[in-house]
Amino acid sequence: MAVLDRRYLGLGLWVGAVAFTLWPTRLADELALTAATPLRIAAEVTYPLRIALRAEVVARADSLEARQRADADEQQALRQALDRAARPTEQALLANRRFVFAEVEGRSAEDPDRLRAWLPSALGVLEGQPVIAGDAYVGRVATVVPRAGTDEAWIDVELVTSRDFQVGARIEEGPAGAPVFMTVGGVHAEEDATKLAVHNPSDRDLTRGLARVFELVRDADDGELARGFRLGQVERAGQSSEWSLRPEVDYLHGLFQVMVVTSLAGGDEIGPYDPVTESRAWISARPLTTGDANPRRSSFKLRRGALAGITTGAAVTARGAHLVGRVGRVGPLMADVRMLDDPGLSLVALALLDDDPVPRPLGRLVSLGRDGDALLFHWSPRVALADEPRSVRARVFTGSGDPGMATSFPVGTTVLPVGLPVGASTTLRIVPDVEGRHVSPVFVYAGARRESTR
Amino acid sequence: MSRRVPFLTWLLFYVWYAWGAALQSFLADPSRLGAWTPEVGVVLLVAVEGVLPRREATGAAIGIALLRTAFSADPPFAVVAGLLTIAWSLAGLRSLLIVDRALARTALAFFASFGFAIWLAFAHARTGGATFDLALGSFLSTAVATALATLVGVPLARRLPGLTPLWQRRYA
Repeated sequence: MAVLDRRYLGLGLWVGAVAFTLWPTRLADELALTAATPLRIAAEVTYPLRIALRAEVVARADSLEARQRADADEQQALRQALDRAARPTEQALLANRRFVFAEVEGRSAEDPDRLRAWLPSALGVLEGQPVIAGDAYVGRVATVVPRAGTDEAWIDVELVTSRDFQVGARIEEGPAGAPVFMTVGGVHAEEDATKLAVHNPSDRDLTRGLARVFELVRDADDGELARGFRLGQVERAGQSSEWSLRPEVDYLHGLFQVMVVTSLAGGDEIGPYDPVTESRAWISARPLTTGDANPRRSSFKLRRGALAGITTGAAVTARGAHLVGRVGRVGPLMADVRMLDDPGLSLVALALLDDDPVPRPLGRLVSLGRDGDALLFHWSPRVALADEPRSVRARVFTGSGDPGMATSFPVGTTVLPVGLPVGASTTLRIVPDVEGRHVSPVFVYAGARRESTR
Repeated sequence: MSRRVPFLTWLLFYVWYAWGAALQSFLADPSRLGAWTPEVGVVLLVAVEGVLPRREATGAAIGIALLRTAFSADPPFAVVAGLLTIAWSLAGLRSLLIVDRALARTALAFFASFGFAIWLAFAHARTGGATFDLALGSFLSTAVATALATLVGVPLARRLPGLTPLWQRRYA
């Protein structure tokens, strides 16, 4: 009987294991990792093997130490360029307005058309105020959650892509030479979510033109403050088709730093948040293993886990904030780090082209593994980077918007086909600044939310 | 039936496997052996399948699977399911052939590691965002390396200190 019971126990375990492999659930994964916590000892007993790598680790640490100054300068320059890019360039948009910096942290789990952003200072920020990126209109502040005892706050931003969102817009000169008024909000079609929907244009012959925010009702929530910000180019395929609007920003993967537009009475402007120098935002940890037992995976285990504040998706960097990977599964006392060449790893990125000082959002990159020294990433642009096809050398950095990620962690160098049409895809070869293997210690980004009371 | 394997023997078995898995993760780096790294868990499983009763071989498969999760980002459930399948398949083959022979072990290790590699790639595609790429060349490399490691490694494994009581077992 006992043998029979054990047999059923084994069979039950096998069926359960197959089921959770085919239909994975986060809860089952977390329970398995918690139950496997004592296995950390197994990795610890193999410590002497890591001594074999010590010389390599020390040499890499020395080289990173030597370039730390240059790394800091590069990242500071990028932050300043991003800050400039997040501010309006047109003089008319700067007048009588104050701009409050906000770092995008991610999206609402319930509503992907809601951004969550963190503000180092939220003085003067109110619900309903417009949110912009450069000259482009992004949406409105939906909620403000202050952080107790500080000026900091988190805001939820309702994006213009939201199904229920509506904002008045105007094209300066329509087909008849007069302004055309319309309402913009939501995406044009589920199958092509890169375009916004245009409703009820005042001139039905409209075929093209640059739409800017223009609320006819002057006391609309964001009416005066939002007026003039660009929504994008109106398009119409034919006389019988609906109007759509091609925006100038990638609302899904291209928003890293945005600005809340407030009135001048709000207070002084605050500079951009620099996650690299924010010591409370980092957790130092040492690798527990030297690599992954599966040659088709690329990962290592960390000596610290959820009890130290490490969360799934967090950026893992070497000294100098060079990205080496992201946290995968997290147990109480250890965590998986998926390195950049682990197939399927994804990150939101931006690029700084050699011939252009303005950082360009690349959107989401998905790792395909590696080819020699180069990391391979699948890339499909959602917004055109240039009209003319050309290839240009570019530095690649992380963008914010995914949980546990922030803007400006360097990834590597690539040659970017900037003329790639929207929707096309290619494989990017990125030569990483740092080989993630054997870097020790590593630094896990815990984000501005750390020590949060929220 | 012979006596039960002492607890200390099992403990040493798993310590040796932990070292094997650590060595495997060290060698699996693309700058070292890469896809030509043998799957040490399959080597040991094939080795014990020839001498242990099914019940104990099942226990060994679960133990190896759990320890392997400490050295890989592969989904734990997939590793458990894969190694249990191998253990039971080998147990089923006992009625057809003598599995505890060098040639048989080598062939079984080849097919077991080939299937295991495909299963893990499939599981990674389900859980890790990767596309399921049937990289036959890579899977075959691992299978050949595991088969060779079984051919050479099993006689060596039977000389590892502390494991003698394990190899003196013969399934009923």
